[in-house]
Amino acid sequence: MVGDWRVSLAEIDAMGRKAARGAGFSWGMAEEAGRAARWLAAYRLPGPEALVAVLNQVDAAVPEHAPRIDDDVWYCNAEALCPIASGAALSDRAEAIVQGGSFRLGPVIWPVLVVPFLCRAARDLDCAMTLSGGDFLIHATREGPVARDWWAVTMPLSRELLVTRTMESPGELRRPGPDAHVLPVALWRRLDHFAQRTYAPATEASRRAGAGAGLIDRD
Amino acid sequence: MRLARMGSFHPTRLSFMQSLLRRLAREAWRFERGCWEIDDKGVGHAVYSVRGPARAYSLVCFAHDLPDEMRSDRVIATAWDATFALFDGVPTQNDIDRLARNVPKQEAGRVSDDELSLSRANRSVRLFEYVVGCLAEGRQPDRAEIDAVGYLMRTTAVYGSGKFGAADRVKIAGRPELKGPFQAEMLSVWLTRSFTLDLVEHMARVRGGAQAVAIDPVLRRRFGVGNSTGLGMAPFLINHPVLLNNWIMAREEALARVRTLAGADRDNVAGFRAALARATENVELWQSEHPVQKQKLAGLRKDLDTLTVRCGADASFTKPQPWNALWLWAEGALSLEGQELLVSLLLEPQGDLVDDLADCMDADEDAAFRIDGSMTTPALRGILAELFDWALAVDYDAAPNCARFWYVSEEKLEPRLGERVSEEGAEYEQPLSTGRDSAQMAADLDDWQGELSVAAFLLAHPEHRHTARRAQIAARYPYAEIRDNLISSDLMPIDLLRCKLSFFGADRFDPRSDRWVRICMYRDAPFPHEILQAPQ
Repeated sequence: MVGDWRVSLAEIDAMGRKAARGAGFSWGMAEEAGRAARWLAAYRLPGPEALVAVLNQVDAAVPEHAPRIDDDVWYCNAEALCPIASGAALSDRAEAIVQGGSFRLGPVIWPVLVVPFLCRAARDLDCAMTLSGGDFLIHATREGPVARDWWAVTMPLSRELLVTRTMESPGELRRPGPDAHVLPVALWRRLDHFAQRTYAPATEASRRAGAGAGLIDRD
Repeated sequence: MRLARMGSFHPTRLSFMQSLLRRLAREAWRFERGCWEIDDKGVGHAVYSVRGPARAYSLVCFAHDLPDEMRSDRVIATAWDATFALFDGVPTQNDIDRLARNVPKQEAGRVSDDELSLSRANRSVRLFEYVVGCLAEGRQPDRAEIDAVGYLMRTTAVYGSGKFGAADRVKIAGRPELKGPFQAEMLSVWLTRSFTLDLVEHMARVRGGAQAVAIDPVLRRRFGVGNSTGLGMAPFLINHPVLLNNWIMAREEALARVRTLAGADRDNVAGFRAALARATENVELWQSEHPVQKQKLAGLRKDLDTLTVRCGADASFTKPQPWNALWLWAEGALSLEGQELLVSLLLEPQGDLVDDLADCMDADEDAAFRIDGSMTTPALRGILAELFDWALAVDYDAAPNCARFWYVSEEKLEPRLGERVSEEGAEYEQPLSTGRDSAQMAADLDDWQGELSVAAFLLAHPEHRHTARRAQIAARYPYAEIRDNLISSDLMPIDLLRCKLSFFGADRFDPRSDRWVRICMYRDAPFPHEILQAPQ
C-alpha cells in the first residue's frame, strides 16, 4: 500500500461522508464531514488527511468527543473534542458569534477541520470570524480562509481554541480550485475501511431482488 | 410533488438533451470525426469532437469484441461492447493511449480531470446484426424492425461529476455550455449515437464490400441510444433536493407562462397540433410489457384521442386564455400520463417564451447546505406541520408503511432496496426514509424541554441533523421534497427513475420491473453532421 492516489473533490465528499458514517457519526453529521474534507482539499489543505486522523481517534466513541456546552466554554467527555461535531455546533451558533459572542473550546483534534464550517457561515452571514489558539491562527472570511502561517494551521491537536468575531483579517487569502487532490494510497484505503462498514453484506435475496434485475437483459 | 405524477413525466423542450442541441446549433459549433481506427472485427477506437466559441470536447470511443456470454446490462458487468470517455479538449495520441489502458476497465480503471464523463454501452444484438446484414446486402433495414427496438446500443452507465477520478463539477460549472445539469453527459450520449451508426455501417462494409450501402438519412434518424437504468439512479432526486426543486420550478414556471397567455396565435396553434401529431405517433410505437406501464399506455392513447378531438376545432383556441382553458379541462379529462404529456405539448411551440428557463436548472447546493441553528424549535416544528403533513400522519410501525429499506450493497457499492421483514441488513439503512425521519424528528421536537433553538436541539439530537437540513431546505425551495413515503410497500422506484430520465430528455420508458427501466435517448434528433458545420 504505497504510492499516491489522485482523487476528485466529489470523491472526497462521498468517501468522507461514508467513512464518517462508518465511524459512528449520524448521517447529517457525516454529510458535514464529507463537505468539510472536500472544502479543505479545494483550498489545497489536508482535508481527507485530517479526517482520517479524526476518525481513527473518535472511532466508535463519537458521542464522547462531541462538545458539551457550559455557557461559553466547550469541553467533552473524551481526551479531545471532535472538530466535525465542534464545527457543526459552531456553525449552528454562528449568529451568536456575529453578534459579538465568543466560544472557548479545547483541546481540539485537527482544528483545521473547523475552518470550513466557519467559512461557510461567514459567507452565508456576510461576516468574518477568527479561530485562534497558540500558533494556530486563521480567519474565516466570506471570500475564504485567511492565514499568515499555513503550516501552523495543520497541527494535529490544539490545546485551546478561541472563536470570535473578526474586525480585521490580515494574512494571505486562499482561493479554491477544482483540481484533484493527491494523497497516499494507504490513507484513502483507511477511509474506505471506515466506509465499508456502511455497506450491507450481500445475501442471496439481495443479489436476486435488490437491484430488481430478474429479467434477461438482452434483446 | 407526488411520485405518481413524477412517474408520468415526459421530456419537454427544457429537457437537458434538447437544451444542449439548441445551444450547439445556435452558437454554430463545429463537428468532426477526427479519428476512426476500427478493424475488420469491429475493434479499435474513434474520436468525435465538437468545437464551440471557447472550447472543444471529444468523445473517445473504444469498440470491443465482446463474447455474447459476457454481455450484461447489470452494473456488475465487467466487459462491454463499447466504452467511452468525454475528453476536455481534443486528445493527443498520449491521451488516447492513457485512456485505452483505463476506459475499457470502467470502474476498475482510473481517469483524470481531463475527462468529463465515463460510460459504456452494449449492443442490441438482434437489431445490430439485422442492420449489418441488410446494409451488407445493399438494402435498407425495415423501418418497423428499427422502431421495435429503437437503438443499436444502449448505455448501461454514464458517470460524470468526478466519478472514478474524472473532473469535478466545479471545473466545468462556470462554462456556459456545461453550466446546465448533465450537459457533459448528454453531449457524450449524443456523440455515442453517431458512433453506433458509424460502427454498424463499418461492419456492413467489412461484410458486404462494394455491395454494402449506407443507411438512408431518414431511417438513420429513427435510431436513438438506449439506456438501461436501475436503482442506482433512484436516490439522486432525494439526495439533491435543491436541484430537484430547480428542475420542477423551471417546468412549473414554463407551464404558468403558457397558461397566462391571453390568446393563441396561429403559429402556436399549428406548432401545438404538430407536436400533438408527433406525440401520437411516438406513443403508438411505445411498447412495454410491464403491466403497470401497459395500463398507463392504454390510458395515454385514450387521452390522446380525447385531446385530439378537443383541439380539432379552431374555436377552442379563440377564447380568452385558451391554453389555460385547455389545461383546466385536462385536469379533469385526462390521466396523469395524459396531463403530463400535455405539459410537454404546451411548451413545445413556445420556445421564445420558455427557453430562457433552461438556464435556471442548475443549483448551488452548497448555498443551501448550512443549517440555520438560530431558528427556534417551534419554527422548525411549524415547517414539519406545514410541509411534511403528508408524512406525520403515517403509522410507521405498521408493516406496509416501513416495508422497505434502502441500502448500499457491499458487493457492488450500488443502492439497493430490501424488504425489512424478510431480509437482513436494515441496520445499514440509508437516510432516504424522508417521511419516517421527519415524523421521528417531529415527535422529539414535541418532547423537547431544552433551549428553544435548533442549535441546542441538534446538539442533543445529532441523529436528526439530516432531517433538520431537509426541512429548512423545503421551507426555502417549494419543490425540494417528494411527498411520498419512500419506504412504503407500494413504492414504485421506477417513478423516481422516470422523473429524472424525462428531465434528461429520454422517452419510450419501458419498465422491466418495478425497479429498472429501459429508455431511448435522442431518437428522431438530428446528428452532429446534420446541424453542425465541419471545422474551418
